[in-house]
Amino acid sequence: MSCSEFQHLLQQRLDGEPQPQPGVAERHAAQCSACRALEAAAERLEEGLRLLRPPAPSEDLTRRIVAGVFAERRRRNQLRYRRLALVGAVAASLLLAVFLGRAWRPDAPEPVAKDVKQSAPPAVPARDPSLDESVQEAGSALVSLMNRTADQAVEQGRVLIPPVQVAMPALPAADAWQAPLEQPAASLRTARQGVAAGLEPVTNSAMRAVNLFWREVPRL
Amino acid sequence: MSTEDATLVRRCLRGDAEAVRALVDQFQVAVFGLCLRLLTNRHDAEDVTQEVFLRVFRSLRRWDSSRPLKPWIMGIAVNRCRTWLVQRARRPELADYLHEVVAAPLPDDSAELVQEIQAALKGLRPEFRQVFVLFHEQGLPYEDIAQALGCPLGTVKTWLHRARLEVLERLRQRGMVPSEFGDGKPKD
Repeated sequence: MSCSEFQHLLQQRLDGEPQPQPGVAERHAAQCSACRALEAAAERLEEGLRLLRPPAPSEDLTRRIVAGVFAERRRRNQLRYRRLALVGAVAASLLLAVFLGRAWRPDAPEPVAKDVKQSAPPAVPARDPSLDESVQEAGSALVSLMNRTADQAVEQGRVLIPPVQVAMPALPAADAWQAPLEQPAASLRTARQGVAAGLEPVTNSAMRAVNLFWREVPRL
Repeated sequence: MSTEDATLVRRCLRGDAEAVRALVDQFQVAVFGLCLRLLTNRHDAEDVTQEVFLRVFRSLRRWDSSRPLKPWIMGIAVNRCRTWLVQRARRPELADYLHEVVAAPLPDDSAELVQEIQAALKGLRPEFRQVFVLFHEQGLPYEDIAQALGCPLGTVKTWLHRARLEVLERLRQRGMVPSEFGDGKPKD
């Protein structure tokens, strides 16, 4: 047996494993003083490890640990409730913003639009028209409606009244109506800006709430 | 896998205060002992023991119930001690209270032997000291030590064997081995 094989057996012994070849190691140790010294040191180590008692903690360590665990649990619960409250506040702010936005939006002139649809179905818009476009469309619809009503009145008049050569005044062209409509369009634009300015504090509050919420969420 | 461990953990996760106390009681001595051996300072060891249990309860849901609980907790303790040692290295040197560990008087030169072993442990590289304490003092098998330290089984064996040789060499140098055995070293 070599010294390294002896060391290997010694390690196995310190591991608590049974010796595979009893007597072989003893024979080597009897001939090798270095390995004999190592074996003696190992015996002293085993003796010392048996005496080495596990260090005892302070008596109140358990109490401190348990108190710390429960304190942290309380803190985490409070944080969870705060997050829930924040999420609720954000959701409420967003709902309020949406509700107010819908309530302040000016309504489109529906009856006129329906009438216009009967006479000439408009092309399907690819996007929601802007306020200016809506106002212009409403103006055109109003002009064509008035032209049509005037035409019908003239036709009925021709039936009831004997034909007399009277010079009929021509209705103004559609372009002539555009200029007077510019003023109400400007009013509507002002109203739109007012709505946007009125909703700004709500939007800012919602954004602040969202930012606060994300700051509170722990990073993964 | 230990059924008792799994039951205890389930109760802790449900918020059972008695189960929390039972878990702390069950592992506190082992965690504190490991921390004291690795940090060699009682005050630090108690602080880190508290931190270890906070982390244990914080991440209890992540424990793999198919594995034993003790190596998992000891792994957390080893990691906290490593972090603490790095932080402590930046601070001024603290007093060493390791001598307080042996309280009761021991016969003949036993007290000196224990002190020499403790001093030898203190002089070991951190990895060697970790595996030595986990194996010889905490009684963990190689597989559990590998799990706790997050390193291969072969590495654990190598570290423990080298740690033992260093401790044995120190005991021999410090005269803890009878002189008739000589002071030579193995030939190969």
